[in-house]
Amino acid sequence: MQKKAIVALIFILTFSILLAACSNSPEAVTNDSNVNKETDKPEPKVDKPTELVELTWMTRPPDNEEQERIRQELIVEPFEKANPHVRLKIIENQDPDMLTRQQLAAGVGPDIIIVDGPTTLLQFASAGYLLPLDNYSELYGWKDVFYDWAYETGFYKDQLYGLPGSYESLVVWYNKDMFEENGWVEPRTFDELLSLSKKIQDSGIMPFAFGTTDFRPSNEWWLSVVYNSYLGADEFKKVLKNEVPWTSDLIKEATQTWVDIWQKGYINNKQSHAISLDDAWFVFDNKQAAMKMEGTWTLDRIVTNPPPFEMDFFVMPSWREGVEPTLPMALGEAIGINSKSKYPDETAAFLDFYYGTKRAESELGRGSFLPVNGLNIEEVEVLNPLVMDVYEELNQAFIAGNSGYASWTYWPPRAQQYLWDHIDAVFLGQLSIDDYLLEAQKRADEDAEEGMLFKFSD
Amino acid sequence: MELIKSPSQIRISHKRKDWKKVILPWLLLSPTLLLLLLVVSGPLIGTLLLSMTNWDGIRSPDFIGIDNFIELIQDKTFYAALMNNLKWTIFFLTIPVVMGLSAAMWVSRIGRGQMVYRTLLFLPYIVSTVVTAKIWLGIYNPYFGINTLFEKLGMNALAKFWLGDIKLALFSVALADTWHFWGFLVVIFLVALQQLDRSLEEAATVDGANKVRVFWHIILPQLRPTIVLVYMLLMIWSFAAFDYVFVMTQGGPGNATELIATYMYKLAIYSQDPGYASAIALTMGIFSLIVIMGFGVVKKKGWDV
Repeated sequence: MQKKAIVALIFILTFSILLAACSNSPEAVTNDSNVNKETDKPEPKVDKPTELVELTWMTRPPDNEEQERIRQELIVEPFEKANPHVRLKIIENQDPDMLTRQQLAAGVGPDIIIVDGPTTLLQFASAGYLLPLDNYSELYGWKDVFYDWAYETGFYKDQLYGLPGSYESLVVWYNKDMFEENGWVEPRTFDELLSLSKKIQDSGIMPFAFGTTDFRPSNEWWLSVVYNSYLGADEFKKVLKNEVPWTSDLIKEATQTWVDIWQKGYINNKQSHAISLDDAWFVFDNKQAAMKMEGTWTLDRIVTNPPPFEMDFFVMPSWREGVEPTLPMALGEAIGINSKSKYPDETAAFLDFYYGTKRAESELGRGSFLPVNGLNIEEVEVLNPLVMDVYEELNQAFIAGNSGYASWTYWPPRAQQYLWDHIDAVFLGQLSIDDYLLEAQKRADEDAEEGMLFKFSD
Repeated sequence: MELIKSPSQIRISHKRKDWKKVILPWLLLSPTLLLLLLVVSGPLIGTLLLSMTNWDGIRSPDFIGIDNFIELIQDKTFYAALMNNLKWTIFFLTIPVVMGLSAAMWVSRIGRGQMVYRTLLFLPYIVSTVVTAKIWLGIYNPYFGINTLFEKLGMNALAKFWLGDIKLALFSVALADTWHFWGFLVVIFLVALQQLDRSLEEAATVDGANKVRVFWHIILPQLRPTIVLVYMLLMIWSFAAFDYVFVMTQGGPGNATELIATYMYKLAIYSQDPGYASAIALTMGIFSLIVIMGFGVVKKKGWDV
């Protein structure tokens, strides 16, 4: 019996040791690991002022090898070369925003905080997770680096907390070869859009390819285009500030117009809720659909994996008389510094590098637009002429004051989630437009109570 | 040499044995109990506390008492999800169980090559959930899925809008899960069938009972403990169902495939309302508790023996 007790004790001890060995400690903002990124071997801790610093950077994994190569050659290597005592520790995750939230709530988190837009930035700043950047802004001259409208999105209570990421919008991509073969032309008015869609449909092709099963939030792309195109930027801004309710006549009319278009089968033949985003691209690439309404991020796809035909784009015409065509603008992300970072100076240096002219010009060549001034457009090596066309179109919209407000940057978060999650129910007749918008307004009121409405500079 | 122990020596010896009987089992259980405490009890208490807060997952939670539960009572989407979970449960308590039992009955009668059939039937179960869901997304795809085959064979009536029809979508997703899962039931029932007393079957057959009567009156009663266990597990798992719906439809079209777990996920992640999501999580726990208590009653009545 004594032997059995000893065996049992040994078993318990071994199990406890194994349990401790298998546990993962959360990623912490710490320099304890000091692992060289290239060799994966631990580096000796240096107590001198030039000790090796490791900055944690959480980001999405590259979509392909080309993107990975660009990240390595344009960001990681040059930054580490310019800052020999700093190493970047990259943590790849499909949802870095969510992972960052969890870690910040647990009191840890990466040095470089990347959030999915100004609304989240506001939340993080109000919770004390981000370091004010005003001093660094003065040091590096960030106010002059960025477009004014983009720079202003990083403020909370008159202090700068984040820098704007790439800006993007939503346009209609189309099969140029198919259009030319059939004599179709880009629509300039809403009536022309409907007429074109009818012609395309009558020829046995779907007007618009679109799928949402694997990413229901993609409904907000159409939502953004619909409301901006129908109301115009100024009127829609009033809704976003909660000065005009989501139940207003204009919003209701816009929603009804969109539902009618969907019911006519113009958007993926009334099957958008039954296929995925990839399926929608399959349909478009295989010439079963003539157009695809999606973001300017599509340029990356066109550049790295072009379809077997020539593509072009047009800006969605306005959906109501008296309204100018409005491009809904968005910022894809915002970047800040963890308030608990041990290396804020090095992190600020990274932020400054991240928005450097050289990288911005390289990104522009691939179709990703950083809101940075002073780019030498002539020097940019553009991989597809469409990139410059889109870039100029977006800049024209800014100049003409025809830029609107995309959902993932400017809309109140709860209302936004409700709207994209329930529009399918409206399409399918499960939910009336009135009830849909009433619930959206209820959510917007909750967002307003919690201070989650976007703070427009006016 | 002393062969006879004194009374005091006997008492000491008994105390040592009692000590080992009492302490030793707890010592052996302690790692598991510790794990349970850390991984289950801790988060459970955390969920309970969070369910009484208004929290966006970032700033400090505000205590709001039972407001989340009051909101839950009035939440139409929650009721839609609950109905879908009930439909899902009814589906899984019938179709896969019948399929699994039928296949197990058939395989148990095979002599040679039984292992091959068992392996083939169990194979889908070892494919990961996400891969299975993606395969079935392809099958259901209206442009290159099984509908194109039906149309080519002239069976247009079968070319349904599998994931787009609000009446069919939940069934379509459940079918995908069944394809993955039923092999597991086959193996469970097969093992149970192999434990049965064959002499009873033979005696009934000799007495003139046909196969249906043998199955109903002889085999099924002996399988009762296994069936009760399977039903209990299926009911608990059905209320926790998430993966297939999330990968294939994300709760759409409309709320046609929304389950409690997917709704909870959206609230926590997309709506940034983990406080309310925690309240919903508790309801899932309560449902599971009701199921387990129900089976406790069943066990007391001896229905599982």
